[in-house]
Amino acid sequence: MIEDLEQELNAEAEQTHGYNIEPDTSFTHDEVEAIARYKEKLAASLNKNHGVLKGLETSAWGLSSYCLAKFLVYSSGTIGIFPSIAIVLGINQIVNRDLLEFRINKSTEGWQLEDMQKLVRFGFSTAFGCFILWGAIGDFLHTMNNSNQTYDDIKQAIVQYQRLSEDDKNMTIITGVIVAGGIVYALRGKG
Amino acid sequence: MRRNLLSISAGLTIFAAFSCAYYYGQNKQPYHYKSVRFCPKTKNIEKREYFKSAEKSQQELDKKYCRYNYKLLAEVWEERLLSDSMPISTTGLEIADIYPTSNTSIYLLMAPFLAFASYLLWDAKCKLDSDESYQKLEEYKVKIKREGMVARIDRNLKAEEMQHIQNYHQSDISRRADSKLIQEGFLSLKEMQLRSQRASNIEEQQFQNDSLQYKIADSLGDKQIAENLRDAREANGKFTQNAVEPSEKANKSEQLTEQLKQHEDGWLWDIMTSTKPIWLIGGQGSGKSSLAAAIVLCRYHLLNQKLALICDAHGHKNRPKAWKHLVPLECAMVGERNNYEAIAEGMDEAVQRWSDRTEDDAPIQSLWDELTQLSMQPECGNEVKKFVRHSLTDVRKANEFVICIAHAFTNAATGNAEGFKELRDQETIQIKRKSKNGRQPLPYAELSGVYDDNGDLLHQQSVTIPEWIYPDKLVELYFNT
Repeated sequence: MIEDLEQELNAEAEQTHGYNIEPDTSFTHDEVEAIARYKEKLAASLNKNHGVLKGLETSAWGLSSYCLAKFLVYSSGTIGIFPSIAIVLGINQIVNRDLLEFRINKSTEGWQLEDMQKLVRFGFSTAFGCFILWGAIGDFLHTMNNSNQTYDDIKQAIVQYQRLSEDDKNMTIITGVIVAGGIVYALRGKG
Repeated sequence: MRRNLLSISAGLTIFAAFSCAYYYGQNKQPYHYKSVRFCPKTKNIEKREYFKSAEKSQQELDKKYCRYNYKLLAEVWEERLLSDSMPISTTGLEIADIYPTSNTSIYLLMAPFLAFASYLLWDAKCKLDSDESYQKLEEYKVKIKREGMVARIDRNLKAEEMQHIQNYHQSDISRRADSKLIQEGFLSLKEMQLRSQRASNIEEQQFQNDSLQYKIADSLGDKQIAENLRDAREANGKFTQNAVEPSEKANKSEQLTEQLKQHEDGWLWDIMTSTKPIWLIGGQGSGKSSLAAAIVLCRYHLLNQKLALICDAHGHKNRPKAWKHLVPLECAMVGERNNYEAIAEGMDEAVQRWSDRTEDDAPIQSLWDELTQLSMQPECGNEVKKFVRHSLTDVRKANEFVICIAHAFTNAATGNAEGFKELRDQETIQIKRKSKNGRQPLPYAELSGVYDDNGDLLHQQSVTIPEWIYPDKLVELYFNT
């Protein structure tokens, strides 16, 4: 039933193109083969160009996410961390939206994964996104962690300093007790 | 050139984008730091025995604590001071701000724009490449088609050349073999000549057949053109006829009929209704063509006789002149531009038509011009003779009204059809006209072949031609509705 419906929809989509196909000039078999070879050569050149275009598109999105994330952290500090993460992962989703079309179906044979290739590619692209994210905000996170540690060290130093007078007091008492004990012992020895 | 410019621009732009992001956008000191140093003051300010001096104590404290300069994010420092449950006291702390060395935000914001500009530039280059690729493919198709065609033609030429060489050698071998047979007495020279003659005859016959086929094709083309013209005129005629009010047309027809009947005992009306062929005879400029056209117009409009054809070797010249009112009457033009073969065919067809038609068929009329000149043409001389002979006897029963124009009613004009002069005089109406100076027609004529009230055949009766019996006048006065 669903397949029939899909076929009908596809047929309607084909009809909406609305172009009549007319035959080209007649050629001999050899000419047709030569034309096909030439066409393949042209197509290869075009595909190469489109590959570069795809690379530039990926670079543009990658640079955008990196620069925006870094800008947010520079300008907003800690507040910019979560928007940075959202921007990087969001852009990653937008760029690789076609890779999200994998399907996991349950059948009598168990769970089946369709378009696993897309899933793997999506995994790689997400890892790349995380790499960009770490490049953008990793330094800040590290600095923030060190700052907290430094604050603790300062606090520790102050606490240590404040403990000094107590130590002197204890030392005086102990010294006094020892001296008093010595005096008492000496007096009892004479008596 | 444009594509190279786009490529270079795209490369430079993406390089600039990466430079902005990873070189100019970087900063060694990008954050706001706080520099904190803990320098407590000694409390040994009183000089006491067994206690160290204050300076010494302070030196020891500084040595222990104040030599460390802590650096941490200002944001973390302020947050911890506010949020810690036991924040440290700032007493004894030396705090200073360390600001970022430079602001690189502009580079970080510029990098995405440059990257997308690079993408758009390359995209423009891809579109140009795509268009050029299609053009290249089509040009390649044209080139390969042209080169293939040239190569095939060359191959065919060479193959034909080889075939010619082979045929030449074959005929040479045959000729030598025949000579050998003749020499050795197996074949006589006469027999050989007979064979050659037969082959030559066959070739000649084939040539004649081919010529005939071409003529048939031309004739069919002419016929089709004539039929198309006739159909067009028929359509135009129907259109104009529908536009005319019937009552007005009938009144004018009655007026003209009455006028024809009243002119000089009604000889004009008599020739209109007569089934005899009318021969209009006279020199150049005597008005015979205009009188013929007037008779045709009157017969067409008053007696409902359709004009089937006009046969005139100079029809292409007379169309805008003498026949200008006849051409719209749905007739076929035969033999224009001196096509005497077509005239011969037209005459043959007319003879055949007279044989096929009967008195019950709808009446038609036909006009034949320049019979004197036609009779002298080798292509149609015989047909003229046959045509004239049959016109004297066959047209009445075929219900066809024939008008012929000639310079003289002589044997020459009638295709040298000797032996029936008496029949010719009796069975035709002859109107002989003259001109004053070769251009101006005289207003009278000699009429022969019409019967008077006593049943006697008139011969060279002098009659006047009224000025209204001219095509332009008739159309203006009677047929313009």
